Order: sequence, then C-alpha cells, then structure tokens
Amino acid sequence: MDKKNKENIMKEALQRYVRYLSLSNTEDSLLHKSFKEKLNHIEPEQSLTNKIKSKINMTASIVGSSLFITGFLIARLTLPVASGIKGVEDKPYIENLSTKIIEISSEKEFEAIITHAVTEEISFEFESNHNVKQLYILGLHKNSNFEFKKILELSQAYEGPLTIIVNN
Amino acid sequence: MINFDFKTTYQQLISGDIDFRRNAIGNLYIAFEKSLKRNLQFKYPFIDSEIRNKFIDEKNKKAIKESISSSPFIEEVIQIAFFKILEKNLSPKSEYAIWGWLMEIVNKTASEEVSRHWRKFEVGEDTPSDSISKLQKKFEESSEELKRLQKIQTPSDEIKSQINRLKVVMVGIIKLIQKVPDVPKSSPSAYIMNCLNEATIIFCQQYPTEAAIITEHKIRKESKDTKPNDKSLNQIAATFQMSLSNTKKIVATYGQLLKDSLSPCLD
Repeated sequence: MDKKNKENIMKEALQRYVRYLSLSNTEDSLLHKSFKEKLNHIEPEQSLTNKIKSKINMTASIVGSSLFITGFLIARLTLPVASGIKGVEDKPYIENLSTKIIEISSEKEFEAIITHAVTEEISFEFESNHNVKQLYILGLHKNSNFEFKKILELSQAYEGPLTIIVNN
Repeated sequence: MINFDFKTTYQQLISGDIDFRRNAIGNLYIAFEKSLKRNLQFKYPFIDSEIRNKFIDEKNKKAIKESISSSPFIEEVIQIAFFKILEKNLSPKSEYAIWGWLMEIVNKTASEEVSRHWRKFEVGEDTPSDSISKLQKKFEESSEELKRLQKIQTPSDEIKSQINRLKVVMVGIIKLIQKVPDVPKSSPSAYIMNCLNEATIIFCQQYPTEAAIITEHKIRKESKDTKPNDKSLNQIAATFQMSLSNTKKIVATYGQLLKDSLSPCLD
C-alpha cells in the first residue's frame, strides 16, 4: 500500500472516532452558559497558610484573654482593696513631723492631760514602764484643740505629734 | 485559538482580584474545553454518558438518562477541574506554561473523579455487575503493560502476540462497557473497518495528547480544504504551547505509529 493511501486510511479512522466521540457533545453555548453560571457561585477557599494564621490568631486571643482574666482575678484576690498608705486621707504630714517631747513631774497633771485628751477625743497611745509613763499623741493640727494646747503651754500654731513623759 | 491572549490571562490569574480570576478562568474554559475534553475522551474511552446508561437498572434508567443527557460525565469533570482553579487559588508558573498546567489539573481531577465514579457503581445497591472493579483494574493493567511492551525497539514474535492479546483484552473491556460503533463482520471490508476502529481507540488511549495533536493537524475544519502546512502546525504549536519543531516531531513520529497500528488491519 502506498504512502498516500495509508495517510488517507489514518485520516478516515481518526475522523470516524472523533465523529463518534462528538455525539455526546453538549451544545457549546449551553455548556459555556452553565459553566459561567456555576463559576459565579464558586468562592475561593482560604489557603492553608491563611487558615493556620487565623487559627494562631484565634488561639492567641483566647489564651491572652484567659491569662489576663486569671491575672486580674489573682491580683484582685491577693492585693488588699484599700491601699492603706498611711495618712493619704488624714493629712499624713502631721504624723511624719518630728515629735515634741514634754516632760512633767506631777502625776496629777499627767492624769489631767489624759482626761483632756479623752474629752477632746484626741487620738493617743499610752505606755507605762516601771516608773516612766508615756503618752504619745499621734498628731495635733494647727489652730485646733485650743484648750489642750493651752494646758500644755503650746502655741496654737503648733502641729505634729507630741510625747508627754511623766517622771515620778 | 492562535490569538488567545496568554499574557493577559496569566496576569489575571496571578492577580488577587477574584473577578479578574473568574474572567480568566472563563476565557480559558471557552478556549480549551474542547481540546481538554478530547484528550480525556481519548484517555478514558470507557467513560462517557453511555456507561451510566449501560449499568443503570431499567427502572431508573429513563430519569437518570434525562438528567445527564445535557451534561456528560467528562464535561462535568472538566468543569470541576476549572472550578478547582478558583476554589484552591491555583495559578500557573508562567504564561508559557498555561496549557501544561491546565492539563495537569484536568488529568488529576479526572483521575480522582473516575475512581469515584467506579466506586459509586461498586457500592450501589443496584449494582448490576460485581466485576466492574475487576474490569477497571484489568483495563488499567493491560494499558500499562501495552505501553511498556510498545517501547521495545525490536519486539520478538512472542512480544508481538502478547501486544495483540492485550489489545484484544482492552477492546473487549471497552466494548463491554460502552457501545463502540461496530460494523457487522459479514464482509471483509466490515472486518477491516472494525479492526481500524479498535486500533484507533487503543492508539488514542495510549497517547491521548499526541493523538489530540494529530487529530488537530489532520482532520480539523481548516485542514479539510487546504493541505496541512507549517501554518496549521504553527497554530497547533501555539494552542498546545509547544515549539514548532516539537509539534512537527510529534505529528511525524506518532502519525507513523498510528499508521503502523492500523496497517495490520489491512494485511
């Protein structure tokens, strides 16, 4: 068989097969239209990297917020509610001033001073050690407790703590 | 086809804009759907809408036939492959690799979908045949073995008869599951025709891409009136994104191989 014949036989065989396969072809316009319609409804999936990133962010935010809450609760339970810094509310400088020491020898006078302090509701601490009695007044304010200051012969402008010692 | 703008399509595909990507995928589908479909039809000659009809029980046959008549399986597979490009944000490495990239995606999708397709028959409660998976396995094994044997430069008589046996097995399986046009073997010419059909199917199954290129070159519309020349080869080379020399080589080498496959029918 010559070359031309072989070529023709090959072409015919291919044509027959392609014609047969084309039997199942859907019309182009319909096929393209349906494809475009479907394509418009397809949304891209998140890539693996983005998925991992979002998971990490989510985990970090959950862990971070839970740590913050835990820390806050621990702090809330362990630290005292009020700061308790001495004197912030009650003029602290009075107590921090240097104390004035007054020595008296009369027991009666000492008792009269205590009575006055109690009467005028002055805050004080009392200590007794053998023969030495001591009255520690935490602080006197300027221009207050006039009577008390007068008994002790103190100036009305005096302010600060006061220690009264009685020696028998 | 030669005017297809690969450069713009590539730029659209690698852009982050979803509308650009949709447009590029739509253009690619319109331009290449036919070639890709032909390639898959060659590669999987046993899969088409006919196979469904063949193995569906009579009760549901009509309804299912109607539902698939406008969308044969291979057309669905190609559409799924193109949807994957958008879904999975796939893009080619360069504008010169678009055809190869498309082929890779379509072939991979087809391989997955065909396996799923077989399994569906296998697990169906109305499965008419319990040998479908055996047939599939036998077909794939025979195809691989045939490919291997055909690579032997000077085959012995024993290998030649083995090749013939494998071809008979493959054709038998295709015929069993799909109605291949068959001419009654009442006359010698009918026998020859049948033999030529079978040889063509086997050749196209073995070399789908090369067969698609030869088909484009030999029997496409443009080549009917004019003698195929370098101009048509240029167009094919542009479509398949190959060099002209490579396209010529494929047409010459595989054209000869096809002729050699057909010639035993004429002896």
